[in-house]
Amino acid sequence: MEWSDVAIAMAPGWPALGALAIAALVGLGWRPSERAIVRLATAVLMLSLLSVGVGLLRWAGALFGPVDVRVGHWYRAGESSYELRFLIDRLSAPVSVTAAILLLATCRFSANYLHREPGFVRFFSLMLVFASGIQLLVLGGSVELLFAGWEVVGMTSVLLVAFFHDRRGPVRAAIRVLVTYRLCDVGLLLGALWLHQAYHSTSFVRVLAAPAAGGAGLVTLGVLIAAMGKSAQFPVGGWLPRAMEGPTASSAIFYGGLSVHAGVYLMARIEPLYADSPGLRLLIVAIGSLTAIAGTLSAQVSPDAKSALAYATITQVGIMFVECGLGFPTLAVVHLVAHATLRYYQFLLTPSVLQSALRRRAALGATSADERAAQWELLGLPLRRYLYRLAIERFEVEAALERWIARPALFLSQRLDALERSLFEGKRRP
Amino acid sequence: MNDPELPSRAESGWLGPALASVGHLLPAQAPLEVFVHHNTLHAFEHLPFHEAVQRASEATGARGYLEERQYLAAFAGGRITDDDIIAAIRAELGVTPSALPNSLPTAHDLARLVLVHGVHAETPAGVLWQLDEHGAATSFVAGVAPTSKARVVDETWQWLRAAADARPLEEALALVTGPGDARTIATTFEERFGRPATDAGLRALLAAPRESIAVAALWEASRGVSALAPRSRRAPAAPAAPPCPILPRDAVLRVGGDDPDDLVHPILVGLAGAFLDRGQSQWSMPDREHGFFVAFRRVLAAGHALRPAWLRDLGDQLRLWEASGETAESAIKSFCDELGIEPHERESFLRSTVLRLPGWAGMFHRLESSAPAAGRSAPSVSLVDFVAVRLCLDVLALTEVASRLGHHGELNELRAFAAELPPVAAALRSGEHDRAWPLFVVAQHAGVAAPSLLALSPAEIDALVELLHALDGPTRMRIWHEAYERHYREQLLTGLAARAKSPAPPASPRFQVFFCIDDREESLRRHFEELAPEHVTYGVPGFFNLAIAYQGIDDPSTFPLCPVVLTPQHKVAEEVLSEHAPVAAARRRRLQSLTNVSIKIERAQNSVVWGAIVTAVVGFIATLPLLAVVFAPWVAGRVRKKVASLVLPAPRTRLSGARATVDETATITVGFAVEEKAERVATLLENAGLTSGFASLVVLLGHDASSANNPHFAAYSCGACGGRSGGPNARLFAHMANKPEVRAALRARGIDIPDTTWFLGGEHDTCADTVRLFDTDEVPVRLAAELERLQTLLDRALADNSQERCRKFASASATIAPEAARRHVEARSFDLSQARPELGHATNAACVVGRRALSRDLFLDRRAFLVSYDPTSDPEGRILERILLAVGPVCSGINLEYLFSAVDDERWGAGTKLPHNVTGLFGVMNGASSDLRTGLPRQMVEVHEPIRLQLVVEATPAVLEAVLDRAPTIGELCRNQWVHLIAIDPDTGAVTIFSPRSGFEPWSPRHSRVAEVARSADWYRGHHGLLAPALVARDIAPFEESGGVV
Repeated sequence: MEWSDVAIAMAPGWPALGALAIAALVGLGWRPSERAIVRLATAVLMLSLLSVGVGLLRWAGALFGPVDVRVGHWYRAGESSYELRFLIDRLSAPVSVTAAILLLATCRFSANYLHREPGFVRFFSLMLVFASGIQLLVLGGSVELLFAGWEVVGMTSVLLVAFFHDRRGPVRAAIRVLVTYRLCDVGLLLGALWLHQAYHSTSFVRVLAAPAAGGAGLVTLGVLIAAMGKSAQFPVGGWLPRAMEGPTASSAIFYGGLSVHAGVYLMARIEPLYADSPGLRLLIVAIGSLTAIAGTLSAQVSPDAKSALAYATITQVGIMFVECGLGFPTLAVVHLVAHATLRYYQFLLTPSVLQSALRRRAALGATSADERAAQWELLGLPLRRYLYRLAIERFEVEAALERWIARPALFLSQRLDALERSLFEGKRRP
Repeated sequence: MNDPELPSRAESGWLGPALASVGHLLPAQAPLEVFVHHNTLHAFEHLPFHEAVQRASEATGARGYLEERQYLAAFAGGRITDDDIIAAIRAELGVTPSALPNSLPTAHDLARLVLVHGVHAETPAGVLWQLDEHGAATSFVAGVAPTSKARVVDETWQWLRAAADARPLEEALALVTGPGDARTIATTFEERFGRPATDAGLRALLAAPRESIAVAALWEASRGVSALAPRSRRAPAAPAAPPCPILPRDAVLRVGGDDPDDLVHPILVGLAGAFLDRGQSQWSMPDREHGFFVAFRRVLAAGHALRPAWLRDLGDQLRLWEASGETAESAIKSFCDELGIEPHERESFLRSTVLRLPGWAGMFHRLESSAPAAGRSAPSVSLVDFVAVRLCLDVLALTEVASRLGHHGELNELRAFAAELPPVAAALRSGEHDRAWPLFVVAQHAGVAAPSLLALSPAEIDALVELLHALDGPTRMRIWHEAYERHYREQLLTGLAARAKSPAPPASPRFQVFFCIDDREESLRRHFEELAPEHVTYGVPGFFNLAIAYQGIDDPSTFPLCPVVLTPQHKVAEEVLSEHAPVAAARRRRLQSLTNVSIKIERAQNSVVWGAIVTAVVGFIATLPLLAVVFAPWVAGRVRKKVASLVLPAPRTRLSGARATVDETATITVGFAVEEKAERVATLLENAGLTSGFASLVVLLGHDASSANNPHFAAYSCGACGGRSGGPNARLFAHMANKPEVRAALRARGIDIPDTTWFLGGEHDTCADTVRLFDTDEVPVRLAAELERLQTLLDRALADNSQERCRKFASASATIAPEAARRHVEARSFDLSQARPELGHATNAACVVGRRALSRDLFLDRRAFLVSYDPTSDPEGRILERILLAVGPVCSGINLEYLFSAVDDERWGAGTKLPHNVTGLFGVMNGASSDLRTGLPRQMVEVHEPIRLQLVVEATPAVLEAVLDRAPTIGELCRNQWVHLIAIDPDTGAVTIFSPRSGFEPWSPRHSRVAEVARSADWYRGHHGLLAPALVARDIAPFEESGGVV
């Protein structure tokens, strides 16, 4: 184990230490000043960026081939062991460095933006936890580490949607996000189990280089469900507009920048598993295309800046799924990096939409909606109304899920509950 | 559903008037681009302030004053003093003696104790909590003074010892355990004191004075006597009958049903936003030109739909309506029937229906009567449509939540059904918690022991209980609020009185600068004047008496630059000088093509086909600006400006609008005729009191505010120009006043402007603290040196002004140098992450109308609107009336909007800015489906002190009384106490405060000392909080370019 191995492992480690330090000090009764929190957060995020930089150097040193970093064991008992290993390759390197830079930008931006907000410390702690999670997700060399990062990202996402937890709306929205994430993450868990079953390893280096094994299709399906949830793909993307309840800075880093692209990264990562299966590739392409079409229509009818931008983002994320399905995972990651940066920036600028719309109106004497709306008039009025309604009702996926998934599940569980009661109730109560 | 034909004709006309009356209660905020401050409670302005606050709080559930803990903190911090409280209590309770006996403190002293210790009625559970968890029956509450404790303990001790000797054991024990049977008394005694309930136990307890037994005796005495107070006068704290009937939704909520709004709002908000959209979405709602109700029914009925269970009948209903051509009005009426709303309940039903999303309903109401935004398909907006759609969804949602409660029948039986179910919270009744408890607590603070309480006669007890009831929550907050305001008023008047006694000596003016009356200009005026005694400034409303429809070279159309209550009659355009026409053409061309390109790129980013390539390319390019604006906002902003000036060259322009004759027929005319110009110029100069003694340079500065990433930008700009810049008005005014023919006409009116005088217009950016002067190329050559000097001086004053502003910013160092401060405030104006580009009108508190001598060199901490007015040339008060009519509503509108947003920022303000999401280009929501947030965001009001405007006028009470009678709008504002009117006699300097009951009452300073400092900076440097007025001494050396001020 070299020093640089440890340095790379500290890319997720530094922010985690920072968050732990804040938590411990606050727990001991420390009332930190905003300045102290910002300094601490900036310092650990800088260190994390440096660690990523070390990884990049190693990667360059390996002539841009995959670098497998093994820093010991996370957990070992008998025959099973979980290794702490990180993987730097053409997928993880660009995403990791983008994440580190965007997080630093968020830290700088939020120092002003959240000034005097009661949840200031909470926001920065969660952002550090998220930074740790996303680096673990991206750099993790095995499915277990990736899964851990994935869950951390999901939980911080939920907690930041509920940032204003004294209001009802954000808390309800957060619960909705949580439920979607939890359900979809079952897929990742099952996928990881199957992977272990089929390949007897969970390390990406080993699994992806191995010849295709029997369970690859099942693994892909499981992982795909998780990826769809996190990346708000059709038809499980109903949580996306609700997630806009958090502060604009967290909307930017999560739903413009990093979290929403995690699904793409995951699909790109396991691409060798489904590369030989036309059926699975078709499925991924279909999901991505449907998302892209539904997303672009929803973006066009959204009257509020954040939803419009969120749906525009999802449109491109859908296209990245298509790119993965077509067998271009590297292209998808290039697209991902550029797109995440752009959308992050645009989310930060959402409070400006009124000012820029007025500037445009001044320059052109018209609204930018004019021309775009006119093109729809080629369609007949009934069809136009129908499409418009579909777009504004978000293609009814919520209602469909409720009718065909949520309610049957609820019904089933009520029945099971009733059955259990009828079987055991009598015995428990004399 | 009931037959809609059923109601008689006379009855069917109720809807219009009912909607009109509830419409008044809605926020009247316009779309954000034309944000103009107004009184949040405009609908209640005909009522006295406190009554209006109470009525509005009842109607909306919002808080009317700060919270008690905030006032208590202000008291602890010295922001409210004992003097203030006593004065406010005196005003509230009157000076007549009450029926309280001499053995008790006076009513005023008791009220003071109630206030400063926050004595209040508890809830029944609260009393139990206090007794069980805090041992309140045997120990003093927190904050009781040691002397009071000692008095209670000693007095009770002696009394109990005597009682133990004189009475049977059980009776003596009952004095500290309350009445009851022997067993209860014994257990309570043992529980409270840990001793056996025997004679020995009692005697042991009474061996020495003890807190536990004294407090217990007091508690039992309080319980005993308060139960004796006559029942008829024991009014409960809250009115017994609810002010409005229980409506179906309330009935469901009272029994713990689900809130139907949770189902309705996400759908309704999405549709309402899409319908009203002013250009945010790229595809606007079909059919919206026919109104919301029609668009709703046509769009939502289109095609087969998959909907949540509670909406499954919606499509059929909509198609039925479409076939029958149902109108919104008849739909509302049939919904009322369906819900079983009785005729007398209709208005409160409608009120509660619209007030559940006041922001959205208010926007429908507001846009009903205003012009649509530019665009191809404009919605036809009306509140009645909104109500009809809302009720349609409400009824379906109520059906759903009713069925979850087990009610499957008709909705008009829902209320009867719910009345049978047990309510979640029991109705509050009067009891020990609101009678004995406050008495018990106040007796502790007052040092009144049990025997003294028991010795009172029934009438005396009655008076005492009555007094404590009278001091309920709203009353206490009212008194606190008055005390809070009084403290500032005393400070302000002490400062002004000191100044009035020794007015600043006049000097022959070298520069005369007109500013807007805006409170933010107070400091800049002061700093400019501090540079030299011959710098003279004036304050006039920032539209400079020119109500114009203005079109700049980059503007697509004209927009009004005047207070919103006026309609401009004159059109003025900025025109390019002919030799600069090519520059202007290039600018226009480039602006258009740049905009077109940016629109194309933005669309491509959202499209499926081009998106991948464009976002990938633009994304990589965007990294640089992203990192620059986040990590180096000042540099990025500067570079951006530089690039913009290179790409978009600014041509030289002039304002057009010369016209030969007055044309009375046209509704809007181009420019002003000579006589109109002369009239405008003369009026402004007369109002300001500048009719002779002109300096060689007279400057007029309008103001604007630059900010980035800020949907509320218009709220920072000039309120007198409808939320826009006053720069063009200033420029036009100077242009007019320089015309020889106008000056000739002015001479005829007795205003002789010498030929050596030149007027110059300019614009002050209140955020970046920069000044831009217009048309400096026209300044005569002989004044070139003066102009240069002026610019230097203005720069210096601006730097000082930035420094004074920076003291209130946490991100600036407390000892920042003026030049660094200027850079700091400039960076704020570019910074995307800055939620507080400037503090706006926050902390505004006063308006001073009078000669500058009254306020010159008086540090007013950017809290006062300053209006120039010369009472010596206005014996009748005609000019004063004109001025007050213009500035009274504007300043009080700003002041009251800040006040209400500050006291309850969640209900009356817009809450924190962080989750704000610009919607339809007209408003902001939290997230994607909340109510529209009206009022001011927390970041604008958090440092504000919510106090009403102290309107100080330099005039005699007689003149002011006459003005109040002649001008009803001003009379209403002052008589209903929406502003506090104060007169300063122009001759004697005597101060009188207007009271609606007794007219002008004399005032004299309690302590006449006002701090004196050499420069403003000496007073504010190193201080973050608000500061009292101070006199800036005048014996200072004039500013020299080399060394600065000594």
